[in-house]
Amino acid sequence: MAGVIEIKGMRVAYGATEVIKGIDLTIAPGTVLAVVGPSGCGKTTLLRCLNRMTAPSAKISGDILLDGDDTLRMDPVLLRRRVGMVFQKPNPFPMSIRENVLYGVKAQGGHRKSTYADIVEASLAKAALWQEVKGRLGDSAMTLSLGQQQRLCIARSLAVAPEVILMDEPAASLDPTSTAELEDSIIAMKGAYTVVVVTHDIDEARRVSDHTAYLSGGSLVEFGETEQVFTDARSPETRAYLRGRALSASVA
Amino acid sequence: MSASSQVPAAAREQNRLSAREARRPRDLGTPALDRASAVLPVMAFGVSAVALVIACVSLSLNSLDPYRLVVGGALTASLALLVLHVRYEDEAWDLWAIGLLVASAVAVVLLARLPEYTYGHSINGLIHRSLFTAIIQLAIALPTTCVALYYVLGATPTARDLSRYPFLVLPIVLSLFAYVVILFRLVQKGAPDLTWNAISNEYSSRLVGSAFVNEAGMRNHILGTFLLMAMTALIALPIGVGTGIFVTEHDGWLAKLVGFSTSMLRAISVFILAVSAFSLVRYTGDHQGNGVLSDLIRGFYLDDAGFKHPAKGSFLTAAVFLSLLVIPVIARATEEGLRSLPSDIREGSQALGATDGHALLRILLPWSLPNIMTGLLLGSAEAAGSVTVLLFISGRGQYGLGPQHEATSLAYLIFDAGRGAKSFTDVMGQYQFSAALLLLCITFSLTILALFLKQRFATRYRAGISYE
Repeated sequence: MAGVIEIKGMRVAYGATEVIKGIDLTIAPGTVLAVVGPSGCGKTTLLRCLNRMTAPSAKISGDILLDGDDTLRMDPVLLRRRVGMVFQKPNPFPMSIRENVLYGVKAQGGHRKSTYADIVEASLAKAALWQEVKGRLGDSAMTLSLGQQQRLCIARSLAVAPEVILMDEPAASLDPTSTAELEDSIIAMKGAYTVVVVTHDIDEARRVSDHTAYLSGGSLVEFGETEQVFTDARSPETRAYLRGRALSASVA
Repeated sequence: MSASSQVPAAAREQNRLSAREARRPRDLGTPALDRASAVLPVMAFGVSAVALVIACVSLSLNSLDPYRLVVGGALTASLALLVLHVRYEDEAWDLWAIGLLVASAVAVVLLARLPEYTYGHSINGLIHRSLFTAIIQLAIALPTTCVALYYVLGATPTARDLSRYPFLVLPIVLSLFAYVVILFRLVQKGAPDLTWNAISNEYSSRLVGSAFVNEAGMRNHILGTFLLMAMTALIALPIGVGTGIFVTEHDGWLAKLVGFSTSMLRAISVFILAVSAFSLVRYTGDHQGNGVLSDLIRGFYLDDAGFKHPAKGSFLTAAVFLSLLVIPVIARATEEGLRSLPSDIREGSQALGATDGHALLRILLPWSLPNIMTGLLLGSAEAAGSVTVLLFISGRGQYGLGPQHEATSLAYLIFDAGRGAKSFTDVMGQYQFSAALLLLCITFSLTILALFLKQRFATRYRAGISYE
């Protein structure tokens, strides 16, 4: 099964500031990895290195392999066709729901027009949005609620059949109901796609992920099975972080 | 308990208000005033501009004279009042303000008392009296503009200022009045001649027997205006949009240079463009006007006997030079449109593995379409109304329309008919106002269309996303 990501000795620097200081990590295909850690620890930079969406000034060294292919020397356009991304803020295109889903498909080409309808239905179904929008595919994507927009963005990424989906705090601007629906669609992706989720919400990480990585100050402090990390972390720093956050969440 | 809390709230509010009253004169000097109601400085600019325009228009359209007298005088007086008001508020009543008042009084008196035409000895011919007053009005408009600038930069009068000193509104009312008067005059003089015959007939000048017989009609000029607009748009649209995209989407010195040049192009005087066009037309082609280059640049026409003559300038030449006026407008509009696209939408497209070209065609250009359309229509209106370039290189276009034919347009007709107005033989003389009215209608409807399309496309291609 495709979608293995191997990160070897990755370092990222913006000018003289090193934001990621040597990370080794292998993400198994078809699993969900949650990346947690305090603000500014390099989570988002790590995520954006995986599809080369970092700022042009970022200098990346080391190796990132996708199914053995060197992604750092690959054409970024081709890489992004294999690695989809969902952003913090829903960013649907100013067009109809149908066109939003088909945007990547048309950009990449090679599909028959007769398959478009099937692609739209299948992608929206995987993102748990089909039932809500099937009657109004021609409507503007802006008429959807924020939660629906975010799921549309997921459907949009799934439509191009990527191996990996990256999510950068996907629930950050959603209400609890929409968050729950979003989490359901992430869990539904397990097995078919490798998913990397950056999140500030510890409970969400625990609910959706198979593995959890804890980053701090640009280094990978902890990596393991989610249950193991949450119940019995090796590093005291990880324990403190997870407990502090979990504690404050349970108090609230 | 402190003393202030014992005072009733209403009284405290009263105190606060009167404290503000006491500070009022100094408020005008502080930059923190409410800029949202900064109608006045804009209008002051407008008023100065209108005063100048009226003075200049009256140079060519002498029949506006009595109206100009009223409007120009009232404008001058109101500007002086405005200046005096500011001076009074600053408690700096000085010679400068009095000088302005005297100058405006002199302008009004000159306007009223000078004979309409003054015969010059050193300059051959006659000088219209508004030439004098134009200079004085310019002298007044300059410091007034400075005052307006002073407002814009620092002390903006608030809505409260306007309600407290109602006469501050006077310049606004007067400048609107000036527009209404000009419009009224245009309709009054232009509409009666604007018959279907005048519009649909072709201007022609034919040799019948041994004499030239002229037939009046504006068809050449009207169709010429549209042809010119279409050709200009055809040239300016791809170049303008391309420039806008290049400047926005690329970094580096070349993009900066192109951006700078485009802005500079906007600043070039139309007169210089006109002279360049004229020189180009004059010095290309041989003296007989044969050859492809001459045909393209100078244009040609065939007379009734079928002989080919070189014209003064072709539609192609006119359109190329007019497009130099329109390109910066379109480029700037495109740039604004592209920059208003939220960056996360751009990122979303990249993340889906779309190439830059695909994003350009499917997202960037549709998004910028409202801006581009507006730029194009407003630019076309400008091209239709621009007379300076055409003044030098166009003719009456009575021998057909086409890229290689002699350029002509309504704007040229206004000039041409005005020039001929004093000779009794010229049949086009009476159509000066009609042509101006028609041109005004065309440019006005283009402007309205631009606003409408912007609204329409914004709903269609931006799907309700507001752009900042």
